[in-house]
Amino acid sequence: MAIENAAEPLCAQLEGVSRRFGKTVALQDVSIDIRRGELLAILGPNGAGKSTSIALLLGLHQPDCGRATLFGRPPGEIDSRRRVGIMMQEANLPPDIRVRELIHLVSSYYPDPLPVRDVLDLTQTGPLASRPYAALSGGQKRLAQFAAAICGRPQLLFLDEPTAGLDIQARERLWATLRTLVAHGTSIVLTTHYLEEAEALANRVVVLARGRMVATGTVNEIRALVARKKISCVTSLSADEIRAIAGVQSVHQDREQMCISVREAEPAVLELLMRDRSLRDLEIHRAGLAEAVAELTEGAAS
Amino acid sequence: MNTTTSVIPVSSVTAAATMPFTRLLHAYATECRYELLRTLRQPIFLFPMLALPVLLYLFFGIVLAGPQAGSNPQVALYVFSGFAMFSVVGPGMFGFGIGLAVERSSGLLTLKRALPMPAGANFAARMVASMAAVALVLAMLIPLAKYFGNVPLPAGKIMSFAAVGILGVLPFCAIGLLVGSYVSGTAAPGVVNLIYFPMIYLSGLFPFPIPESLKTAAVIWPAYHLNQLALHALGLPTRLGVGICAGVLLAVTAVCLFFSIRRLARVG
Repeated sequence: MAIENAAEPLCAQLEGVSRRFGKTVALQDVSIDIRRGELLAILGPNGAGKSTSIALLLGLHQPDCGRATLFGRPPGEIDSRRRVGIMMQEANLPPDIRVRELIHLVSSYYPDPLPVRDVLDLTQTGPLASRPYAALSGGQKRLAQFAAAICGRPQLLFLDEPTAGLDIQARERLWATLRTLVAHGTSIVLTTHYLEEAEALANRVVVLARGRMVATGTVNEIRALVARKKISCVTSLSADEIRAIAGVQSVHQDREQMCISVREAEPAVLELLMRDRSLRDLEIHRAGLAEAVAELTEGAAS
Repeated sequence: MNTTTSVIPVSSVTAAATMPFTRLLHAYATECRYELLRTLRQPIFLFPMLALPVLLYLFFGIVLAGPQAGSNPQVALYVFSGFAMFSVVGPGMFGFGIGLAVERSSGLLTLKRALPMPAGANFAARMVASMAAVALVLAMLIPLAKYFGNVPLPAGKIMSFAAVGILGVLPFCAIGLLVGSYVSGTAAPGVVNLIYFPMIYLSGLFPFPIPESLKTAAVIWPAYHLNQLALHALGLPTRLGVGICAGVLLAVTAVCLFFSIRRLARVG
Protein backbone atom coordinates (compact mmCIF):
# COMPACT_ATOMS: atom_id res chain seq x y z
CA MET A 1 0.00 0.00 0.00
CA ALA A 2 3.00 2.25 0.42
CA ILE A 3 3.76 3.88 -2.88
CA GLU A 4 7.36 3.03 -3.72
CA ASN A 5 9.38 5.78 -5.22
CA ALA A 6 12.59 4.34 -6.54
CA ALA A 7 14.08 7.78 -7.16
CA GLU A 8 13.96 8.62 -3.46
CA PRO A 9 17.19 7.51 -1.87
CA LEU A 10 16.91 5.60 1.38
CA CYS A 11 18.45 6.78 4.63
CA ALA A 12 17.90 3.57 6.47
CA GLN A 13 16.27 0.24 5.85
CA LEU A 14 15.18 -2.94 7.53
CA GLU A 15 14.75 -5.79 5.08
CA GLY A 16 12.83 -8.78 6.35
CA VAL A 17 14.44 -8.66 9.77
CA SER A 18 13.59 -10.97 12.63
CA ARG A 19 14.98 -10.80 16.10
CA ARG A 20 14.26 -12.80 19.21
CA PHE A 21 15.40 -12.27 22.78
CA GLY A 22 15.48 -15.68 24.40
CA LYS A 23 12.07 -17.14 23.69
CA THR A 24 10.41 -13.79 23.02
CA VAL A 25 10.01 -12.90 19.37
CA ALA A 26 10.60 -9.16 19.29
CA LEU A 27 10.39 -8.75 15.53
CA GLN A 28 9.22 -11.12 12.82
CA ASP A 29 9.92 -10.41 9.16
CA VAL A 30 9.71 -6.63 9.38
CA SER A 31 10.67 -4.38 6.48
CA ILE A 32 10.84 -0.63 6.95
CA ASP A 33 12.23 1.98 4.55
CA ILE A 34 13.17 5.44 5.72
CA ARG A 35 13.37 7.85 2.82
CA ARG A 36 15.22 11.11 2.64
CA GLY A 37 13.28 14.08 3.96
CA GLU A 38 10.29 12.23 5.33
CA LEU A 39 8.91 11.78 8.79
CA LEU A 40 8.06 8.17 9.45
CA ALA A 41 6.05 7.33 12.53
CA ILE A 42 6.29 3.86 14.04
CA LEU A 43 3.15 3.13 16.00
CA GLY A 44 2.06 0.25 18.11
CA PRO A 45 1.25 -0.80 21.65
CA ASN A 46 3.94 -1.53 24.24
CA GLY A 47 6.01 -4.54 23.28
CA ALA A 48 5.11 -4.20 19.62
CA GLY A 49 8.76 -4.05 18.58
CA LYS A 50 9.20 -0.29 18.09
CA SER A 51 12.33 0.00 20.22
CA THR A 52 13.82 -3.18 18.78
CA SER A 53 13.35 -1.80 15.27
CA ILE A 54 15.24 1.34 16.21
CA ALA A 55 17.94 -0.64 18.03
CA LEU A 56 18.51 -2.69 14.86
CA LEU A 57 18.69 0.45 12.72
CA LEU A 58 21.27 1.90 15.12
CA GLY A 59 23.32 -1.28 15.22
CA LEU A 60 22.73 -1.80 18.95
CA HIS A 61 21.46 -5.29 18.17
CA GLN A 62 22.07 -7.52 15.20
CA PRO A 63 19.10 -9.07 13.38
CA ASP A 64 18.84 -12.87 13.62
CA CYS A 65 17.92 -12.84 9.96
CA GLY A 66 17.28 -10.18 7.37
CA ARG A 67 19.36 -7.05 6.92
CA ALA A 68 19.58 -3.61 8.49
CA THR A 69 21.35 -0.73 6.77
CA LEU A 70 22.05 2.87 7.69
CA PHE A 71 22.93 5.11 4.75
CA GLY A 72 23.62 1.97 2.75
CA ARG A 73 26.17 0.68 5.27
CA PRO A 74 25.93 -1.73 8.17
CA PRO A 75 24.57 0.20 11.17
CA GLY A 76 27.08 0.60 13.95
CA GLU A 77 29.80 1.99 11.67
CA ILE A 78 30.85 5.28 13.18
CA ASP A 79 30.72 7.13 9.85
CA SER A 80 27.03 6.26 9.49
CA ARG A 81 26.33 7.20 13.08
CA ARG A 82 27.86 10.63 12.52
CA ARG A 83 24.87 11.40 10.29
CA VAL A 84 22.33 10.37 12.89
CA GLY A 85 20.82 12.14 15.89
CA ILE A 86 19.19 10.17 18.68
CA MET A 87 16.74 10.78 21.46
CA MET A 88 16.16 7.72 23.63
CA GLN A 89 13.42 7.71 26.17
CA GLU A 90 15.00 5.21 28.52
CA ALA A 91 18.48 6.75 28.56
CA ASN A 92 19.26 8.85 31.63
CA LEU A 93 21.79 11.48 30.65
CA PRO A 94 24.59 12.33 33.11
CA PRO A 95 22.81 13.96 36.07
CA ASP A 96 25.59 16.33 37.08
CA ILE A 97 26.17 17.91 33.67
CA ARG A 98 24.46 21.19 32.82
CA VAL A 99 22.29 21.44 29.71
CA ARG A 100 24.74 23.71 27.88
CA GLU A 101 27.60 21.32 28.69
CA LEU A 102 25.56 18.35 27.58
CA ILE A 103 24.97 19.93 24.17
CA HIS A 104 28.64 20.87 23.94
CA LEU A 105 29.68 17.31 24.80
CA VAL A 106 27.36 15.61 22.30
CA SER A 107 28.27 18.19 19.64
CA SER A 108 31.90 17.21 19.98
CA TYR A 109 31.10 13.78 18.51
CA TYR A 110 29.97 15.27 15.19
CA PRO A 111 32.10 16.67 12.37
CA ASP A 112 30.05 19.81 11.74
CA PRO A 113 27.71 20.57 14.64
CA LEU A 114 25.46 23.59 15.14
CA PRO A 115 26.77 26.27 17.51
CA VAL A 116 25.55 25.54 21.06
CA ARG A 117 23.79 28.93 21.17
CA ASP A 118 21.71 28.03 18.10
CA VAL A 119 20.75 24.67 19.55
CA LEU A 120 19.57 26.34 22.77
CA ASP A 121 17.49 28.83 20.78
CA LEU A 122 16.06 26.25 18.46
CA THR A 123 14.93 23.92 21.22
CA GLN A 124 13.84 26.64 23.67
CA THR A 125 16.34 25.31 26.19
CA GLY A 126 18.10 28.66 26.68
CA PRO A 127 16.54 29.21 30.12
CA LEU A 128 17.67 25.71 31.17
CA ALA A 129 21.24 26.08 29.89
CA SER A 130 22.88 26.47 33.30
CA ARG A 131 20.83 23.87 35.12
CA PRO A 132 22.12 20.36 35.83
CA TYR A 133 20.25 17.66 33.97
CA ALA A 134 19.13 16.02 37.22
CA ALA A 135 17.37 19.23 38.31
CA LEU A 136 15.11 19.32 35.23
CA SER A 137 11.47 18.27 35.16
CA GLY A 138 10.40 15.38 32.95
CA GLY A 139 9.37 17.67 30.11
CA GLN A 140 12.53 19.75 30.40
CA LYS A 141 14.63 16.59 30.25
CA ARG A 142 12.81 15.75 27.04
CA LEU A 143 13.77 19.12 25.58
CA ALA A 144 17.40 18.68 26.65
CA GLN A 145 17.46 15.24 25.04
CA PHE A 146 15.96 16.73 21.91
CA ALA A 147 18.64 19.43 21.89
CA ALA A 148 21.33 16.74 22.16
CA ALA A 149 19.68 14.85 19.30
CA ILE A 150 19.72 17.71 16.81
CA CYS A 151 22.99 19.42 17.76
CA GLY A 152 25.09 17.41 15.30
CA ARG A 153 23.06 18.55 12.28
CA PRO A 154 21.93 14.99 11.61
CA GLN A 155 20.50 13.86 8.30
CA LEU A 156 18.44 11.27 10.10
CA LEU A 157 16.87 11.76 13.49
CA PHE A 158 15.55 8.98 15.73
CA LEU A 159 13.05 10.26 18.27
CA ASP A 160 11.59 7.94 20.87
CA GLU A 161 8.43 9.43 22.40
CA PRO A 162 9.78 12.96 22.05
CA THR A 163 6.80 14.79 23.53
CA ALA A 164 5.96 12.54 26.49
CA GLY A 165 5.61 14.81 29.51
CA LEU A 166 5.64 18.07 27.54
CA ASP A 167 2.92 20.65 28.06
CA ILE A 168 0.80 21.58 25.06
CA GLN A 169 2.77 24.72 24.24
CA ALA A 170 6.13 23.00 24.37
CA ARG A 171 4.75 20.16 22.28
CA GLU A 172 3.47 22.56 19.62
CA ARG A 173 6.86 24.24 19.49
CA LEU A 174 8.65 20.93 19.18
CA TRP A 175 6.30 19.90 16.40
CA ALA A 176 7.05 23.17 14.62
CA THR A 177 10.78 22.49 14.91
CA LEU A 178 10.30 18.98 13.54
CA ARG A 179 8.35 20.32 10.56
CA THR A 180 11.13 22.83 9.89
CA LEU A 181 13.74 20.09 10.09
CA VAL A 182 11.82 17.92 7.63
CA ALA A 183 11.31 20.90 5.32
CA HIS A 184 15.09 21.35 5.28
CA GLY A 185 15.68 17.75 4.30
CA THR A 186 16.15 15.94 7.61
CA SER A 187 14.57 12.50 7.80
CA ILE A 188 12.90 11.62 11.06
CA VAL A 189 11.85 8.32 12.59
CA LEU A 190 9.39 8.89 15.38
CA THR A 191 7.98 6.35 17.78
CA THR A 192 5.02 7.60 19.69
CA HIS A 193 2.02 6.67 21.74
CA TYR A 194 0.32 9.94 20.84
CA LEU A 195 -1.54 9.16 17.67
CA GLU A 196 -2.36 12.80 17.10
CA GLU A 197 1.38 13.35 16.93
CA ALA A 198 1.69 10.93 14.03
CA GLU A 199 -1.45 12.40 12.52
CA ALA A 200 -0.04 15.91 12.73
CA LEU A 201 3.48 15.17 11.52
CA ALA A 202 3.96 11.90 9.72
CA ASN A 203 4.36 11.48 5.98
CA ARG A 204 4.15 7.77 6.50
CA VAL A 205 3.15 5.44 9.27
CA VAL A 206 4.22 1.91 10.11
CA VAL A 207 1.98 0.03 12.51
CA LEU A 208 3.60 -2.77 14.49
CA ALA A 209 1.86 -5.27 16.73
CA ARG A 210 3.48 -8.23 18.47
CA GLY A 211 6.64 -7.83 16.44
CA ARG A 212 4.88 -7.94 13.11
CA MET A 213 4.21 -5.19 10.66
CA VAL A 214 0.45 -4.80 10.52
CA ALA A 215 0.21 -1.92 8.10
CA THR A 216 2.24 0.76 6.40
CA GLY A 217 1.24 3.80 4.40
CA THR A 218 0.27 7.43 4.71
CA VAL A 219 -1.96 8.51 7.57
CA ASN A 220 -4.88 8.61 5.14
CA GLU A 221 -4.09 5.16 3.78
CA ILE A 222 -3.97 3.68 7.27
CA ARG A 223 -7.21 5.41 8.13
CA ALA A 224 -8.79 4.09 4.93
CA LEU A 225 -7.83 0.57 5.93
CA VAL A 226 -10.40 0.86 8.62
CA ALA A 227 -13.01 2.52 6.49
CA ARG A 228 -15.44 3.30 9.21
CA LYS A 229 -17.59 6.36 9.61
CA LYS A 230 -19.51 7.27 12.68
CA ILE A 231 -22.95 8.85 12.40
CA SER A 232 -24.60 10.38 15.40
CA CYS A 233 -28.12 11.83 15.45
CA VAL A 234 -31.26 12.19 17.49
CA THR A 235 -34.00 10.06 15.98
CA SER A 236 -37.29 8.44 16.82
CA LEU A 237 -36.12 5.22 15.17
CA SER A 238 -35.26 2.36 17.48
CA ALA A 239 -31.82 0.73 17.54
CA ASP A 240 -33.27 -2.42 15.97
CA GLU A 241 -34.84 -0.42 13.16
CA ILE A 242 -31.48 1.20 12.43
CA ARG A 243 -29.67 -2.13 12.49
CA ALA A 244 -31.94 -3.25 9.68
CA ILE A 245 -30.49 -0.57 7.37
CA ALA A 246 -27.96 -1.95 4.88
CA GLY A 247 -24.31 -1.21 5.70
CA VAL A 248 -24.86 -0.51 9.40
CA GLN A 249 -22.24 -2.31 11.47
CA SER A 250 -23.17 -1.36 14.99
CA VAL A 251 -25.58 0.88 16.87
CA HIS A 252 -25.56 2.09 20.41
CA GLN A 253 -27.53 4.73 22.23
CA ASP A 254 -25.85 7.40 24.30
CA ARG A 255 -28.63 9.22 26.16
CA GLU A 256 -30.79 10.67 23.37
CA GLN A 257 -28.00 10.39 20.79
CA MET A 258 -27.90 7.37 18.53
CA CYS A 259 -24.32 6.39 17.54
CA ILE A 260 -24.14 4.39 14.34
CA SER A 261 -21.04 2.82 12.83
CA VAL A 262 -21.11 2.29 9.07
CA ARG A 263 -18.75 1.52 6.24
CA GLU A 264 -20.23 4.16 3.93
CA ALA A 265 -21.99 7.14 5.44
CA GLU A 266 -23.99 8.60 2.56
CA PRO A 267 -26.44 5.74 1.73
CA ALA A 268 -27.06 5.16 5.42
CA VAL A 269 -27.82 8.84 6.06
CA LEU A 270 -30.18 8.92 3.09
CA GLU A 271 -32.02 5.89 4.41
CA LEU A 272 -32.19 7.34 7.93
CA LEU A 273 -33.65 10.62 6.68
CA MET A 274 -36.23 8.81 4.54
CA ARG A 275 -37.41 6.80 7.51
CA ASP A 276 -37.40 9.65 10.01
CA ARG A 277 -38.13 13.13 8.68
CA SER A 278 -37.80 14.58 12.19
CA LEU A 279 -34.18 13.34 12.55
CA ARG A 280 -31.91 16.12 13.92
CA ASP A 281 -28.40 16.90 15.21
CA LEU A 282 -26.87 14.82 12.43
CA GLU A 283 -23.08 14.49 12.54
CA ILE A 284 -20.71 12.33 10.50
CA HIS A 285 -17.15 11.59 11.70
CA ARG A 286 -14.32 9.85 9.96
CA ALA A 287 -12.51 7.29 12.08
CA GLY A 288 -9.24 8.83 13.32
CA LEU A 289 -5.82 7.26 13.23
CA ALA A 290 -6.37 6.19 16.82
CA GLU A 291 -9.36 4.03 15.92
CA ALA A 292 -7.57 2.68 12.87
CA VAL A 293 -4.47 1.66 14.80
CA ALA A 294 -6.49 0.20 17.64
CA GLU A 295 -8.43 -1.91 15.21
CA LEU A 296 -5.35 -3.01 13.28
CA THR A 297 -3.37 -3.96 16.37
CA GLU A 298 -6.34 -5.73 17.95
CA GLY A 299 -6.74 -7.68 14.75
CA ALA A 300 -3.12 -8.77 14.96
CA ALA A 301 -3.42 -9.75 18.59
CA SER A 302 -6.43 -11.99 18.16
CA MET B 1 12.10 33.31 19.02
CA ASN B 2 9.99 31.61 16.44
CA THR B 3 11.23 28.15 15.60
CA THR B 4 9.14 27.81 12.48
CA THR B 5 11.22 30.39 10.68
CA SER B 6 14.64 29.33 11.85
CA VAL B 7 16.83 27.68 9.30
CA ILE B 8 18.43 24.43 10.34
CA PRO B 9 20.88 23.43 7.70
CA VAL B 10 21.26 19.69 7.47
CA SER B 11 24.86 18.59 7.53
CA SER B 12 26.34 19.48 4.19
CA VAL B 13 28.46 16.34 4.30
CA THR B 14 26.71 14.04 1.88
CA ALA B 15 29.33 11.37 1.46
CA ALA B 16 30.51 9.38 4.45
CA ALA B 17 30.74 11.89 7.26
CA THR B 18 34.39 11.71 8.11
CA MET B 19 35.81 13.45 11.11
CA PRO B 20 38.89 15.62 10.70
CA PHE B 21 41.67 14.52 13.04
CA THR B 22 41.50 17.77 15.01
CA ARG B 23 37.77 17.27 15.63
CA LEU B 24 38.54 13.74 16.82
CA LEU B 25 41.12 15.05 19.28
CA HIS B 26 38.62 17.68 20.35
CA ALA B 27 36.05 14.94 21.02
CA TYR B 28 38.50 13.06 23.26
CA ALA B 29 39.47 16.26 25.05
CA THR B 30 35.84 17.28 25.60
CA GLU B 31 34.96 13.85 26.96
CA CYS B 32 37.92 14.03 29.38
CA ARG B 33 37.02 17.56 30.42
CA TYR B 34 33.46 16.65 31.36
CA GLU B 35 34.49 13.43 33.05
CA LEU B 36 36.86 15.42 35.27
CA LEU B 37 34.16 18.01 35.89
CA ARG B 38 31.69 15.30 36.86
CA THR B 39 34.22 13.77 39.25
CA LEU B 40 34.83 17.13 40.89
CA ARG B 41 31.09 17.75 41.15
CA GLN B 42 30.56 14.60 43.17
CA PRO B 43 32.30 15.53 46.42
CA ILE B 44 30.51 12.68 48.17
CA PHE B 45 32.21 10.29 45.79
CA LEU B 46 35.55 12.05 45.73
CA PHE B 47 35.87 12.72 49.45
CA PRO B 48 36.30 9.16 50.75
CA MET B 49 38.74 8.31 47.98
CA LEU B 50 40.89 11.32 48.77
CA ALA B 51 40.34 11.85 52.46
CA LEU B 52 40.49 8.27 53.69
CA PRO B 53 44.10 7.56 52.64
CA VAL B 54 45.21 10.96 53.93
CA LEU B 55 43.52 10.50 57.31
CA LEU B 56 44.76 6.94 57.69
CA TYR B 57 48.29 7.93 56.81
CA LEU B 58 48.11 10.89 59.16
CA PHE B 59 47.17 8.58 62.00
CA PHE B 60 49.32 5.51 61.35
CA GLY B 61 52.18 7.02 59.39
CA ILE B 62 52.70 10.31 61.18
CA VAL B 63 51.13 10.23 64.63
CA LEU B 64 52.06 6.64 65.48
CA ALA B 65 55.13 5.89 63.37
CA GLY B 66 56.38 9.45 62.85
CA PRO B 67 58.52 9.74 66.00
CA GLN B 68 60.56 6.64 65.06
CA ALA B 69 60.89 7.65 61.41
CA GLY B 70 64.13 9.51 62.02
CA SER B 71 65.80 6.44 63.50
CA ASN B 72 64.46 4.03 60.94
CA PRO B 73 63.85 5.78 57.61
CA GLN B 74 63.34 2.49 55.74
CA VAL B 75 60.29 1.59 57.81
CA ALA B 76 58.90 5.10 57.30
CA LEU B 77 59.28 4.65 53.55
CA TYR B 78 57.58 1.24 53.65
CA VAL B 79 54.63 2.64 55.59
CA PHE B 80 54.37 5.64 53.28
CA SER B 81 54.50 3.51 50.14
CA GLY B 82 51.74 1.22 51.44
CA PHE B 83 49.33 4.04 52.21
CA ALA B 84 50.12 5.83 48.97
CA MET B 85 49.42 2.70 46.91
CA PHE B 86 46.25 2.13 48.93
CA SER B 87 45.15 5.56 47.69
CA VAL B 88 45.83 4.45 44.10
CA VAL B 89 43.66 1.34 44.11
CA GLY B 90 40.39 3.08 45.09
CA PRO B 91 39.97 5.66 42.30
CA GLY B 92 40.60 2.96 39.70
CA MET B 93 38.28 0.29 41.01
CA PHE B 94 35.49 2.49 42.33
CA GLY B 95 35.64 5.33 39.82
CA PHE B 96 35.74 3.05 36.84
CA GLY B 97 33.74 0.06 38.00
CA ILE B 98 30.83 1.72 39.69
CA GLY B 99 30.66 4.58 37.23
CA LEU B 100 30.45 2.20 34.31
CA ALA B 101 27.91 -0.08 35.97
CA VAL B 102 25.66 2.89 36.78
CA GLU B 103 25.99 4.12 33.21
CA ARG B 104 25.05 0.68 31.94
CA SER B 105 22.02 0.39 34.21
CA SER B 106 20.76 3.88 33.37
CA GLY B 107 20.78 3.24 29.63
CA LEU B 108 23.41 5.93 29.10
CA LEU B 109 25.93 3.40 27.82
CA THR B 110 23.44 2.25 25.18
CA LEU B 111 22.92 5.82 24.06
CA LYS B 112 26.68 6.38 23.95
CA ARG B 113 27.07 3.28 21.78
CA ALA B 114 24.46 4.65 19.40
CA LEU B 115 25.97 8.13 19.33
CA PRO B 116 29.06 8.72 17.21
CA MET B 117 31.25 9.01 20.28
CA PRO B 118 34.75 7.96 19.20
CA ALA B 119 35.51 4.41 20.29
CA GLY B 120 37.52 4.59 23.46
CA ALA B 121 36.69 8.19 24.36
CA ASN B 122 34.57 7.03 27.28
CA PHE B 123 37.36 4.77 28.60
CA ALA B 124 40.05 7.34 27.96
CA ALA B 125 38.08 9.98 29.85
CA ARG B 126 37.50 7.71 32.81
CA MET B 127 41.15 6.71 32.87
CA VAL B 128 42.21 10.36 32.84
CA ALA B 129 39.76 11.12 35.67
CA SER B 130 41.12 8.22 37.73
CA MET B 131 44.72 9.29 37.10
CA ALA B 132 43.82 12.85 38.07
CA ALA B 133 42.25 11.63 41.32
CA VAL B 134 45.44 9.69 42.09
CA ALA B 135 47.60 12.71 41.25
CA LEU B 136 45.49 14.79 43.61
CA VAL B 137 45.78 12.41 46.54
CA LEU B 138 49.52 11.90 46.00
CA ALA B 139 49.91 15.68 45.93
CA MET B 140 48.52 15.67 49.46
CA LEU B 141 50.29 12.56 50.76
CA ILE B 142 53.81 13.33 49.51
CA PRO B 143 54.24 16.74 51.23
CA LEU B 144 52.61 15.30 54.34
CA ALA B 145 55.16 12.49 54.45
CA LYS B 146 58.13 14.66 53.54
CA TYR B 147 57.51 17.57 55.88
CA PHE B 148 55.53 16.06 58.75
CA GLY B 149 56.44 12.40 58.66
CA ASN B 150 60.21 12.82 58.36
CA VAL B 151 60.15 10.43 55.39
CA PRO B 152 63.30 10.84 53.27
CA LEU B 153 61.88 11.71 49.85
CA PRO B 154 64.30 13.37 47.43
CA ALA B 155 62.77 15.06 44.38
CA GLY B 156 64.00 12.44 41.89
CA LYS B 157 62.40 9.60 43.82
CA ILE B 158 59.15 11.53 44.19
CA MET B 159 58.85 11.79 40.42
CA SER B 160 59.31 8.10 39.71
CA PHE B 161 57.14 7.15 42.70
CA ALA B 162 54.32 9.44 41.51
CA ALA B 163 54.65 8.01 38.01
CA VAL B 164 54.22 4.47 39.41
CA GLY B 165 51.12 5.61 41.29
CA ILE B 166 49.52 7.52 38.43
CA LEU B 167 50.15 4.81 35.83
CA GLY B 168 49.53 2.14 38.41
CA VAL B 169 45.86 3.10 38.66
CA LEU B 170 45.27 1.66 35.19
CA PRO B 171 45.26 -2.07 36.09
CA PHE B 172 42.71 -1.26 38.80
CA CYS B 173 40.65 0.70 36.27
CA ALA B 174 40.65 -2.50 34.21
CA ILE B 175 39.49 -4.59 37.20
CA GLY B 176 36.75 -2.02 37.87
CA LEU B 177 35.81 -2.11 34.21
CA LEU B 178 35.46 -5.87 34.35
CA VAL B 179 33.17 -5.69 37.39
CA GLY B 180 31.21 -2.79 35.87
CA SER B 181 30.65 -4.64 32.62
CA TYR B 182 29.20 -7.69 34.37
CA VAL B 183 27.12 -6.41 37.30
CA SER B 184 24.40 -3.78 37.67
CA GLY B 185 24.82 -0.32 39.12
CA THR B 186 23.25 -1.32 42.43
CA ALA B 187 25.38 -4.45 42.82
CA ALA B 188 28.67 -2.89 41.72
CA PRO B 189 29.68 -1.19 45.02
CA GLY B 190 29.25 -4.49 46.89
CA VAL B 191 31.18 -6.53 44.38
CA VAL B 192 33.99 -3.98 44.14
CA ASN B 193 34.28 -3.92 47.95
CA LEU B 194 34.42 -7.70 48.00
CA ILE B 195 37.61 -7.55 45.95
CA TYR B 196 38.94 -4.26 47.28
CA PHE B 197 39.08 -4.94 51.03
CA PRO B 198 40.75 -8.35 50.97
CA MET B 199 43.19 -7.07 48.38
CA ILE B 200 44.36 -3.98 50.25
CA TYR B 201 44.71 -5.97 53.48
CA LEU B 202 46.29 -9.13 52.09
CA SER B 203 48.66 -7.28 49.77
CA GLY B 204 50.38 -5.98 52.88
CA LEU B 205 49.78 -2.32 52.10
CA PHE B 206 49.06 -1.54 55.74
CA PRO B 207 51.47 -1.99 58.59
CA PHE B 208 49.06 -4.48 60.17
CA PRO B 209 50.02 -8.05 60.97
CA ILE B 210 49.06 -10.62 58.32
CA PRO B 211 48.89 -14.35 59.13
CA GLU B 212 52.11 -16.02 57.99
CA SER B 213 50.19 -18.45 55.78
CA LEU B 214 48.66 -15.55 53.83
CA LYS B 215 51.90 -13.61 53.51
CA THR B 216 53.22 -15.82 50.73
CA ALA B 217 49.83 -15.64 49.02
CA ALA B 218 50.16 -11.85 48.76
CA VAL B 219 51.62 -12.34 45.28
CA ILE B 220 48.17 -13.19 43.91
CA TRP B 221 46.98 -9.61 44.47
CA PRO B 222 47.75 -6.95 41.85
CA ALA B 223 48.07 -4.33 44.60
CA TYR B 224 51.05 -6.27 46.00
CA HIS B 225 52.83 -5.97 42.67
CA LEU B 226 52.02 -2.29 42.45
CA ASN B 227 53.51 -1.74 45.90
CA GLN B 228 56.63 -3.66 44.90
CA LEU B 229 57.08 -1.26 41.98
CA ALA B 230 56.51 1.72 44.26
CA LEU B 231 59.09 0.43 46.77
CA HIS B 232 61.53 -0.05 43.93
CA ALA B 233 60.94 3.56 42.84
CA LEU B 234 61.79 4.64 46.39
CA GLY B 235 65.02 2.67 46.18
CA LEU B 236 64.04 0.00 48.68
CA PRO B 237 64.85 -3.69 48.35
CA THR B 238 61.91 -5.69 46.93
CA ARG B 239 60.97 -9.35 46.99
CA LEU B 240 60.16 -9.54 43.28
CA GLY B 241 61.90 -7.99 40.30
CA VAL B 242 60.51 -4.93 38.54
CA GLY B 243 59.96 -6.89 35.33
CA ILE B 244 57.84 -9.54 37.02
CA CYS B 245 55.65 -7.01 38.84
CA ALA B 246 55.14 -4.84 35.77
CA GLY B 247 54.43 -7.97 33.74
CA VAL B 248 51.79 -9.16 36.22
CA LEU B 249 50.07 -5.77 36.20
CA LEU B 250 50.11 -5.63 32.40
CA ALA B 251 48.70 -9.14 32.22
CA VAL B 252 45.92 -8.31 34.70
CA THR B 253 45.07 -5.23 32.64
CA ALA B 254 45.04 -7.16 29.37
CA VAL B 255 42.90 -10.03 30.69
CA CYS B 256 40.36 -7.70 32.33
CA LEU B 257 40.18 -5.54 29.20
CA PHE B 258 39.71 -8.58 27.00
CA PHE B 259 36.79 -9.96 28.99
CA SER B 260 35.11 -6.59 29.56
CA ILE B 261 35.29 -5.57 25.92
CA ARG B 262 33.95 -8.96 24.90
CA ARG B 263 31.12 -8.62 27.38
CA LEU B 264 30.30 -5.01 26.43
CA ALA B 265 30.30 -5.83 22.73
CA ARG B 266 27.80 -8.61 23.36
CA VAL B 267 25.36 -7.10 25.79
CA GLY B 268 26.23 -3.42 25.96
